[in-house]
Amino acid sequence: MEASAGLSDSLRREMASIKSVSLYEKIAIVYRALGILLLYILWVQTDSGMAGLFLLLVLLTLMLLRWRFPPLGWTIVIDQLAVVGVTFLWDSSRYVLALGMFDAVYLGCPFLAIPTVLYSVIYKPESILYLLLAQSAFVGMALWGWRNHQEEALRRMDEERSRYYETESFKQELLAANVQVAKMAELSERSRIASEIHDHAGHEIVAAYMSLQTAQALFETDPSQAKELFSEALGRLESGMGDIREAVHNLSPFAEFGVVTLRRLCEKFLHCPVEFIVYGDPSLVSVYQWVILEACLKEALTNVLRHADPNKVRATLDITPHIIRLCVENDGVNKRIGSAGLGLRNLQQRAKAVGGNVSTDQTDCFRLVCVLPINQKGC
Amino acid sequence: MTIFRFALMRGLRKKSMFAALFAVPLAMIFIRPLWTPENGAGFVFYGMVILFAAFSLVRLIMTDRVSGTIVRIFAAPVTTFQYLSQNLLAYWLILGIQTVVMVAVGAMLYEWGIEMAAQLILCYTVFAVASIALSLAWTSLFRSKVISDAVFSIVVSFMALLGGIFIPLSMLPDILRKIGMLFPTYWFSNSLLGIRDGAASREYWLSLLIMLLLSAASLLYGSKRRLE
Repeated sequence: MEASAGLSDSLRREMASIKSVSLYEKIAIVYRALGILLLYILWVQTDSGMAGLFLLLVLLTLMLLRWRFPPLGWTIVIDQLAVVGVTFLWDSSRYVLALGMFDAVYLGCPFLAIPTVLYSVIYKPESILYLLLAQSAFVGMALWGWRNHQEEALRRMDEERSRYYETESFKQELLAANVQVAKMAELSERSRIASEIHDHAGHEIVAAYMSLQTAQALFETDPSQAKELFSEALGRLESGMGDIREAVHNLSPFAEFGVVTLRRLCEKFLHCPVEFIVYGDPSLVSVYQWVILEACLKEALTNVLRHADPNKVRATLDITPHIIRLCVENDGVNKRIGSAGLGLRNLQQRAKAVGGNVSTDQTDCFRLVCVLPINQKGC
Repeated sequence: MTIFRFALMRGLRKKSMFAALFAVPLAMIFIRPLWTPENGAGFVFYGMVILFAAFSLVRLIMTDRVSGTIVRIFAAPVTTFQYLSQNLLAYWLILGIQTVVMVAVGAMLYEWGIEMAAQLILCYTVFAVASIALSLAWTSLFRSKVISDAVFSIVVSFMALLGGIFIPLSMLPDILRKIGMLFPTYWFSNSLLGIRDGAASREYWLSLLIMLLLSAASLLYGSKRRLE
């Protein structure tokens, strides 16, 4: 399943736009590189002294350092101090203070531009520098806003994805627990039946057996006693049979399940005739598997109602010693179904939770196939 | 230091590489006209030998990256810093040994004196650092070794031209000199001029400092691109 399957539409749109997530970073790099290049051209045209070249190399190195290690953003203070220092040797270098201003605003820490602000206040340079500083601050702010927006969108996407995966995982756990509970219930019921037979019918039958053995021994020597014991044994056997009958009567489920339910579902479907065929031994199928098969059949018939106008629906249940396969197929499909809907996805997950699979095929007709494994008894 | 040890072994494994690293410089040092005080071309040519040797060694990192070996290396608990630092240190050590051998032989043959020999060793080893860093930054730009090699040869020829390898720095036009100042070859030639002018000259130390700054910038760039 796609990772974005559970995300809302607005967030999917955000995801599409987020592909350009690092574009603002690229623009910032280009802006800084342009600044360094202009400084170099200025240096070539004006001073060409060693102080200017040193400043250029120091600024370049620090810029690369921040690019390589983003947490070192505070080093822009060093940039500005270096520029202020070099202004005493090369006056034109003060223009590069605009880069410091840009970085400080872009990083969202305007206080890092204090050296530039102090220099502007104390030395009162010409208005072109103020203009440059304002322009850099503006560009920095625009990119900062862009970055913040993208980061916020990313954060929200992460949160929603995290919630989605948590829900999915919770659902899987619930389904697994469901299977577990069904198995536990089966074991518990099995234990109850054993106890019922042992405690009631079992005692009567054992007593009858012992009476019959004694009667057999007394048959030659004391026929009247043997006859009495024989009658008693018959009475005990009758009582035991009564207990067994009662136990079986008590164990019979009130609600219908299994093949009967599936057949009844097919009979109740009035949209078109449904042919239901069963192959194999239905007693091999566990209760929780019947629940899934029933849900599959319901989903398939609902799909027929929604998307098809068939002449006939055919449902086949194959039960082999190792797998159960339910296949529901119909003709007269009006429109092709794209990706699996919620109902089908849930079914797939439920089948997956018990080691099975639900798939669809639309080549010549619509076909829904559910395959479940049969666990060996006691496994 | 496993990576360091293997980088050393790998650097010296190929006979062609071994010959380029040691035979060529040693052959150069015996060509007496190259090392006369008037000519001095040998000093700058040896710089080019270092530059190409550094590039050949750093190509091994590129080979790791292109062949996908780097993915397997990083499957082990190895950080980018450990991988790069140990590889580059190994290459620098190879170039350092080569330089020491070369200068020692030169000092014996041409009576350079201890001070000049020490200055030459320092100058060459700093230039070796700059060459390794530059090669790392350069190789990080490319995915194909063939293109990287071809373009590097062209760029190096320009660097050599602007850096005073073929033409003395004093003869270069002002604008070309200023462009050349952006490359380590310029400062390498400048430092050699500093040695010629006299011990502990300002130009010499300044050139070394700028070469180190350029190395830092190149290392920072080369250590990130397409390596992680």
